[in-house]
Amino acid sequence: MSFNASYANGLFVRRFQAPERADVYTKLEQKIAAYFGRRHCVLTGSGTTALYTIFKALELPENAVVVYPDITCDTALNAAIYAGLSPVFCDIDPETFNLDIKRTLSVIEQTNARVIVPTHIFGNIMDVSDLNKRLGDREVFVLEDAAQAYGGERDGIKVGGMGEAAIISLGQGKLIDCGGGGAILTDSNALCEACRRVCTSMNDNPSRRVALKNEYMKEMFKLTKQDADAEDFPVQRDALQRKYKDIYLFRIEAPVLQVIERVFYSLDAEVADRRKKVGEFNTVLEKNKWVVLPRSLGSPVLWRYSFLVKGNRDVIFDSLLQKGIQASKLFPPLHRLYGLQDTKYRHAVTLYDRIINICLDFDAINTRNIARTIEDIIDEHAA
Amino acid sequence: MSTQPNQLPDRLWAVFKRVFCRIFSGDNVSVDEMEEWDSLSHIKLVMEIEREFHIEIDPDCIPSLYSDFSTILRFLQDSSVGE
Repeated sequence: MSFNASYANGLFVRRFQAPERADVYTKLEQKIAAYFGRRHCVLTGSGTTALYTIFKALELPENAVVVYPDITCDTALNAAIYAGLSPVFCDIDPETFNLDIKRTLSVIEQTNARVIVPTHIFGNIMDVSDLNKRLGDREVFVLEDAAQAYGGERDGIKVGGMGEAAIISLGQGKLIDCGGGGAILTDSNALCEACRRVCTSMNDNPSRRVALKNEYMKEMFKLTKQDADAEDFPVQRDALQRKYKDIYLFRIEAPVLQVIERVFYSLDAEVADRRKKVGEFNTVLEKNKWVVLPRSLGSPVLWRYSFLVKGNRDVIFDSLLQKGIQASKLFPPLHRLYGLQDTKYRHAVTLYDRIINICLDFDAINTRNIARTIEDIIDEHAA
Repeated sequence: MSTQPNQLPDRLWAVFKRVFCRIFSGDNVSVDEMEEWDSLSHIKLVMEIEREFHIEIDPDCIPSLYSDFSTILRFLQDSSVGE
């Protein structure tokens, strides 16, 4: 395999043309594929690029429908927008926080969807095998989004090995943070080759991306200020995103590749660290009467420790921040980006109103203290 | 609206907290340190700054503000927000 990525940012230019580097690159892809029990891995510039690459490789007609869970990261949604596809949203299962499978089947029927993106939200494993079973012989491509959950497994199958293809992200703040990068995982030779062809056509010029990003922010700022309340704002916004898609779609860059080479092997240690923290959190919080934890499937690896609180979420959230605990209220329901009514997405709305996500990047030695602080704050304010 | 110069950083930190839903410690924070400070949240941040300080920011300034807290603070000071 020949990999020829040039990287220029005004300071230096690196080329990965040397055969020995191409070999290192190929071996890295093979090792990542093997880790996930997959035949192929294609490294990409980001998780978003990985999703986009698969959409393009599938050669879907323009505006083909892609089903997303209503609660997921909007960068995953952007991949469909960049690819000229039409995203639709499905409510979540309140017990697992993941896609509601029964509703998903109904959305597929109603929209003639061509792709579905089951997402292991916050690391909680989605029941992809049940989804596959219930899809039967429908011609819907199952694209597993494992960006928040890799390292987890269920019934001997790794997260990332459950869909017809899967993506992972190695970007900032992810389970292993390589500063960027993503990967496509699949068993299909044809899809793998098609993805490589799509990747080859992508830009690899960071300075051009910076210039584009500056223009994009200016245009998006003007549009948002002028037309945010207009009925066709979502259409205009998506068109602007498509116009500037090259900012976010790119081949993997040499420096990131070197970090992945170094860091990917720390995944097992990260998995063990997170499982230990989650175990201690569960010991303290799972019996708390104000806390609702998601039903766990298999052996997950959590990106965020997520739970719902039964009362005064915002007061609890502010108190957590005041105590220096890194928390978030992610993710806003995606249907609201399109001005859709809440009625069809009531579980997603409830989750967004009640959720607290705890970042698990702290030093393990503090786990029990942090868990107790969280419990104390909840007990003090939830009633 | 009149703002005492020493209040300006506190008010700007309050805007950061509202937009990014987190507490900040230290004197500065940059886009490189925050995964959540992306191009879209930057637009939210700038709009929130406009609201907080009752100013209009020229769209041409948006990219240069996509940097760090100190740069935005300096921009507000240079725009006489603190006077």
